[in-house]
Amino acid sequence: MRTILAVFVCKLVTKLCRVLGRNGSVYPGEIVFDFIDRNVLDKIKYPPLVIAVTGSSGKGSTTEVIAHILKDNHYDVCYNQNGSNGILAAMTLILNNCNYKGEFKHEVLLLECDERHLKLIFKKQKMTHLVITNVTRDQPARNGHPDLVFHDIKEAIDDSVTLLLNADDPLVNRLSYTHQGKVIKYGLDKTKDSYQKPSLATDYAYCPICHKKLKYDFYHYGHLGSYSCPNKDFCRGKLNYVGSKIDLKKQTMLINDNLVNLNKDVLYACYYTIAAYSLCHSIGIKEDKILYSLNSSFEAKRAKEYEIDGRKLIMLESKNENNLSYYQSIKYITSQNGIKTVILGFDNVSRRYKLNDLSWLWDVDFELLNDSSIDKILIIGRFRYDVVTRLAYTNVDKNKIILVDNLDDILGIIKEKTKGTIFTMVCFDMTANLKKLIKGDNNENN
Amino acid sequence: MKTIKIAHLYYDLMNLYGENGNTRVLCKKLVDQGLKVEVHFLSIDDKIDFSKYDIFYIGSGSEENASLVLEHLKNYQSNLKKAINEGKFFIVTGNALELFGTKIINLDDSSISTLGIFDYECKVTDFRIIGEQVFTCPLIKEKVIGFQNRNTVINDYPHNLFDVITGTGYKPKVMQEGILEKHFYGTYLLGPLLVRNPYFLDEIIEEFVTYLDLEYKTNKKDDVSYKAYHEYIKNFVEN
Repeated sequence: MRTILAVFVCKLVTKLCRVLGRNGSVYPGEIVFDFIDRNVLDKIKYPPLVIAVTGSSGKGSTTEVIAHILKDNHYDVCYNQNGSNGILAAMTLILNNCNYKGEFKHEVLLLECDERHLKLIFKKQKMTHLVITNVTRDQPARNGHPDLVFHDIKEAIDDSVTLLLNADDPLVNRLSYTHQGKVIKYGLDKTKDSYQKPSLATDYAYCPICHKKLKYDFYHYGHLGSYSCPNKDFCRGKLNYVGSKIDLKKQTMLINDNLVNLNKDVLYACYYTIAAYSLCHSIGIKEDKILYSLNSSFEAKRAKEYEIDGRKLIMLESKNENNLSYYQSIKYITSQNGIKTVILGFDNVSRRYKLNDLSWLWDVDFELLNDSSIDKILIIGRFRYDVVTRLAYTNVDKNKIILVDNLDDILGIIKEKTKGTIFTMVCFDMTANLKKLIKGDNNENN
Repeated sequence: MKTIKIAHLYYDLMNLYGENGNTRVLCKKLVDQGLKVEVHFLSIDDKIDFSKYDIFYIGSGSEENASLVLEHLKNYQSNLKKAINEGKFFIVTGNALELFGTKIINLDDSSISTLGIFDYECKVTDFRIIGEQVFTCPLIKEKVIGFQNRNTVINDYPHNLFDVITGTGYKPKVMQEGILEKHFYGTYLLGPLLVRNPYFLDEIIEEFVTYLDLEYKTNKKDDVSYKAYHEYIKNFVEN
């Protein structure tokens, strides 16, 4: 009876939200959670395939690619397309896709799950497959540290779940040593950007069994790479799916000798592609069908592009409190051809909470900005002096750095003092502010 | 010229919050004093010679990593105590502070004995203390700013490093925080404390240079970290 009420209320509140022009991806679930039944998800009759995707980063893109392949192969799949991935959003999505008997109406439930909410969304025996992309430091004020995230994920898993693990991440790969159910591992071979020495901000460095320092053949980024324990107690091990011959310029790689097109020229595209490939192959979709789906008409969301005085401006978003997000942005910028101007900075550390822990700035490898193709770096936002302090401890030429005290002046500064393609690598709040200024400028000039 | 040796202890295990910033600024400030400086990164696979270094730094880590570090440090308990008593400089941030007391008491009342250098106990809490902190320090007139993210409290300690203006002391509603003993500066404040508090760093450098019987040189030119500090105070403390 409560389940019927929960489904009814969820659908009703969702309709009301839509009438009121609200997104309604979280609020209906919140009403059910607070006033009707916070355990309603335990009572749903789930379909034969319940796939969850979690991890510190890349879970949204991985989910998108899986959904694309499943849909292309005529699966009736329901997934959280809007990216809301906490317990309340999951509750909204699941209840809205149930009939009044509490039976899920689609053939596949595919859910991108917040890594700390996974155990709340799927209590034991609900998931059939779980993809774990990586576990790295991210939003420590909310998440604590990677070990806590790892243990939260572990709590949601029982032996009935098939695990698809990014084995390049030793913290994720720990699960392959304890999980009694099926484990499928994927990873990437060495690329031309792989490196030998770890950064100071690696989250995992020691064997979980004998506590000897892991030896790495190479790192991709953070603690992701190919590693083994000197005592042979722990290693990346044999991979079921290997990404090799990665060519980001051509946007291709081989997965188990099959040529796959990447929809972005960044390394993380290899990870979400191979994760999706592994999952889809493991549920029985034939390789040629997966390849057809990946290699034809699959566009990634592109970075927003604008023009200022005939110069291209490309907006990359970097997540604060996540050193690897900044790493990816800088690597992308420096891999592009031509002279560049970079815009960097933030007004608020987080959009979720009003806490300003700045420690992560020292985990970001800003040394990579010491690149001859970067002509100027514009520092904006309330914490611009903290960012400049951080850059003072790199070899970036001081003369390349311009402090922008008033954001309203930035377009004038770009036009007068900089050259080349402009890349912004700021967080969400500053992206919105910059878009507003650029649109205003474009309107004035038209 | 004497070469100053800094030991960044457990750099690969106790490194959750940009701790490398602390050794970088220490190094730069000592070089600004005209000293030659070496930073050595040491961890549980290394032997630590406490007589060899002038300054020791240790930062925050996960509970699992902290327990590995504790086991390793227990091999050096007497050398460590001797170094602290001799007045060597120790800067300890975040949950590394837990290692230097007598024990950590878990939620189920079981306990882990720690290094026993100082007479305080840490108790694991069923909540995390997360937030920005504003403190005063008897050593300087400027405020100290920082961040905490922890799940233990300290019962009490008579020689605190900081007094709380806003934030959390040894435990909620207690207005003292940190440990100051000789040249041991310990605090729950995490991450790049010395970067964010250039006046506090100056005080430590002056104390260190004086300890070496050298003349301290005031040198604040070209250092934007003071500006960052004052901007933060203006935007978040005085507002």
